[in-house]
Amino acid sequence: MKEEIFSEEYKDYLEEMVNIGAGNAAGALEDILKYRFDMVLPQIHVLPPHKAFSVIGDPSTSVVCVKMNMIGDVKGEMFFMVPYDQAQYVMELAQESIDQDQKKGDSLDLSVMMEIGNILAGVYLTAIHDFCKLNIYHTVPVLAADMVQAVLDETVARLGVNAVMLVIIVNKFESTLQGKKAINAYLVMIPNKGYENVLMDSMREAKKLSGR
Amino acid sequence: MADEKTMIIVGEGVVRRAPVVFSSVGLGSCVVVTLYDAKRCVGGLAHIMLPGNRRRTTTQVFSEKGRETRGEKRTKGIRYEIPSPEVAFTVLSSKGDVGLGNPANAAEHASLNEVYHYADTAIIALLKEMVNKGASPPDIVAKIAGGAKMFADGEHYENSIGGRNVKSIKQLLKIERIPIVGEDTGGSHGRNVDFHLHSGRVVVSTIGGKDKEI
Repeated sequence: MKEEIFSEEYKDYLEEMVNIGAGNAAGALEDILKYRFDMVLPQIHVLPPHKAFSVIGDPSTSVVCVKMNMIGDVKGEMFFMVPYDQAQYVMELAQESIDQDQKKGDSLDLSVMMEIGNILAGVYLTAIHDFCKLNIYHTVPVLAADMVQAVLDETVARLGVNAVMLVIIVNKFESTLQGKKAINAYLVMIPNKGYENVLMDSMREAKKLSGR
Repeated sequence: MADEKTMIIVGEGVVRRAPVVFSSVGLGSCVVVTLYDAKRCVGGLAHIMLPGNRRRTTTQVFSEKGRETRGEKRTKGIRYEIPSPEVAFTVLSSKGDVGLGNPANAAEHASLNEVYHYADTAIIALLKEMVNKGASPPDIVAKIAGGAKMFADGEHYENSIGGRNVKSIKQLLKIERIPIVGEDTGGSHGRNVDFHLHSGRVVVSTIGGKDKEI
């Protein structure tokens, strides 16, 4: 199938690009959480939108999800997702690093996740800019904690019948310390129809320029 | 109850006789419509994605006049932002296994038939299927669930996909004179729906919430 060949090439370029972003992402997360992370090489999945949940697991897996729109050279939507149990761990870490005194009661603030999503999305968009000179901005993040299929529902409905592909970048952050949990972060980029070509063309161009 | 449980995914619709349990998980802006004829124990469930199919590429499925012409008239005035539903077919029927080694099987292809993607075509198709399986239209009652707005991004509920889905489904059911006897729509949370065909019960569950029967 033509689409499969397309996506293979697409994946290849994305891997190149994401390798740049991944290191920065781990660095950024270390800065926020004041915690030493080891970066495992990110995985990339290119899927049609209605299959997106399969990377994360069951359609009813609960996740904390930050949604942003991409504007600029490539338009579309962007999601940053962390499974709910791991998100709780991230929030605990964040609270420890921000202020010990604020830790009263159990109510963990989900807005921490919004901030982390915001920063990591920015990091990846910067990597895209560095690699293929595309200016993509993201809009103000909005947050939801619910089932993965439910949060993606609206996008599948709105873009699913239009979008050719969506890109999922799975970032796994592991700690060097024994007994510490790993964090899986999912970054989902869904370019609007037509824009995946913009993304791919400039990636192809960039690769040619760098002589690889 | 150890009734057989059937998962209904996005854009799918099924009609069966009891005993069976239809289950749909992860409803966000999508809406589930259940139709039930209690006298004959025939029930159907459709997992609908969008309010209307503007270009109506699926006419061959219900080429008969009557219901859909009225439905068509009613929904004609509504504008939809999906410019070309026929693209859906190429996308959805393309193998969605890239990168996961998860081959889409033939059954999946069949279930992604776009009739059940859109409220207007789905309700008519579901009704016809109900009648085919022996249900009598005056005895059919409907329950709807879903149509949430997951993100507080400033968009008005009435303009969101969920809100428009619910609105158009209610309109269509009104045209078909099918009473809505249970409803759980709106809000900002996802839902799981279980439809028990032997009793006609529809149970809606949410994350961190109580199960609710509608």
